[in-house]
Amino acid sequence: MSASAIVMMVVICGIIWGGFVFFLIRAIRSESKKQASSGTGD
Amino acid sequence: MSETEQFSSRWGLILATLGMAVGTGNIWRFPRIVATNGGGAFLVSWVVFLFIWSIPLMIVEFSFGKRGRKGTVGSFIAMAGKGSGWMGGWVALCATAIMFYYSVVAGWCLRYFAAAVRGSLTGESSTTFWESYAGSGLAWVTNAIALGLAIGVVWFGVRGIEKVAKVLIPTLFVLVLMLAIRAVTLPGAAAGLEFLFRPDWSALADVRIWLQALTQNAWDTGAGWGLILTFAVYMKSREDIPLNAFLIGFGNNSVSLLAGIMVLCTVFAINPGARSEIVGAGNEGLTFIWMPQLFAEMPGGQFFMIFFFLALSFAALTSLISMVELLTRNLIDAGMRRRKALGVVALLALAFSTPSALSLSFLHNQDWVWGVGLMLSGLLYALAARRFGVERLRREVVNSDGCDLPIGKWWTFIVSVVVPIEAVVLMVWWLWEAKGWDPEHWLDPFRSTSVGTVLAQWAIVLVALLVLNRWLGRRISAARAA
Repeated sequence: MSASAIVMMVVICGIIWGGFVFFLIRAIRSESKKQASSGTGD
Repeated sequence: MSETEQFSSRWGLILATLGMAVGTGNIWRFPRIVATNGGGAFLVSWVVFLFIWSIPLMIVEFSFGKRGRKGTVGSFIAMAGKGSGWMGGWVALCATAIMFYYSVVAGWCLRYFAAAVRGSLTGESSTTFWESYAGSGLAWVTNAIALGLAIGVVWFGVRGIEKVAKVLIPTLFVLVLMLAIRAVTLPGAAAGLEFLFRPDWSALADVRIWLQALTQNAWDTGAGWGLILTFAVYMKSREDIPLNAFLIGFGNNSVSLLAGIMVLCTVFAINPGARSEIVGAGNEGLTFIWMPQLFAEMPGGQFFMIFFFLALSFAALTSLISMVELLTRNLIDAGMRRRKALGVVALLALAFSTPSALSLSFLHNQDWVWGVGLMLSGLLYALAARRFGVERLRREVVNSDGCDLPIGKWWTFIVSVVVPIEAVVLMVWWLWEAKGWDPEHWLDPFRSTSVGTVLAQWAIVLVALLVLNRWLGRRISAARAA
């Protein structure tokens, strides 16, 4: 593979898969916070 | 809305909506379109339109469903005023017309999965297998089976949809991931990655690349179809909108990227000499003729062919389920009970899917007419949001209670200005392209992919909706009062 194709692969996969994982983790954290606050009656 | 008519959790909503978004278009269209539109350059524009079409429209859909708490017709009336029922009606009819041929496609996937399991689908016989099956009575039967499965799930309401999505979507992700890993580990697969990601920067100056990227986003994320709105009706009142929209948009495109890697690495590793022929063979040609041939030459190919058609079947079924629910929800809003509404949907779907099951030409006509119709749906969402007030929508609904990722004014600008421009440009461009496909008969309404057939069918539907507009409003109001 050429260097430019490798760079493009890293950038595109990084944005799309990295973005998915980033938003997934954020949703998991947010959901566990909401669960914790509803559990303590806050 | 009762507890049983709500998703039990955020994950139920996300998985069901991901199931709606991830369809056959991710697996059979995306790899072809990337391969024929400049590879890496196309991917850049594809990422751009995720941010300026798909995600902003998903947020609009979520906010309409969450605020309106009705299907497309009722929510458009709730958000944009009494005279706006026809807009929601267009969105519903467009998605329903797609359902009438998408069930046929889902049936194809099930048939090929069954054939792969039984070992009756071989590389040598794939062309005759397809030619003897497509458009036959058996295609109608598999279409009916696919519809039966989808209706069976929707019968149990939103909790049924949620339970099925919780099994099918993670399995689909694993299957596509396994297939992609197998493909990149084939000897010669690097050439496929090179082809997929090589940036041809000059292609970015070609407006067609950008329009193809926008089209891909419009068709494969489900933004503007009315399906997200339908699921949003069942979201909890303190549920987030923006973070869910980002997660679903990125999740959908993650599957597309995996599918692109899987298909192109397989093609380049197994039969690089025929790559132009393969990617130019159209959705059905690539999937149902070439893929079995490629799997036949791959070590362990029989197993991977089973996984491939299983993944395709899951993708098709979860999308079909959401289309069935969209029409059902609108009928419930008009005063029917769920099971009676589903009976009506079943009869309509069986009747109107029959021509597409028995004629590929008819199916391609419907795919063309309502595929472009989705761009009008996107435009109508933006116009309805403008009637409500896009900034007001952002403050009162999108960034309201439960929001995990407050959205800035950039979204207001994109929905007010950018999305309407994109929708109009796309519609004009596609119709202009179609004029060039058959310059002598481009206005003939009886040609499968002419401009005339689009304008004629749109005109019939739009006139009917405008005539029935007041009745639609009264019907929804009467059902609400009852």
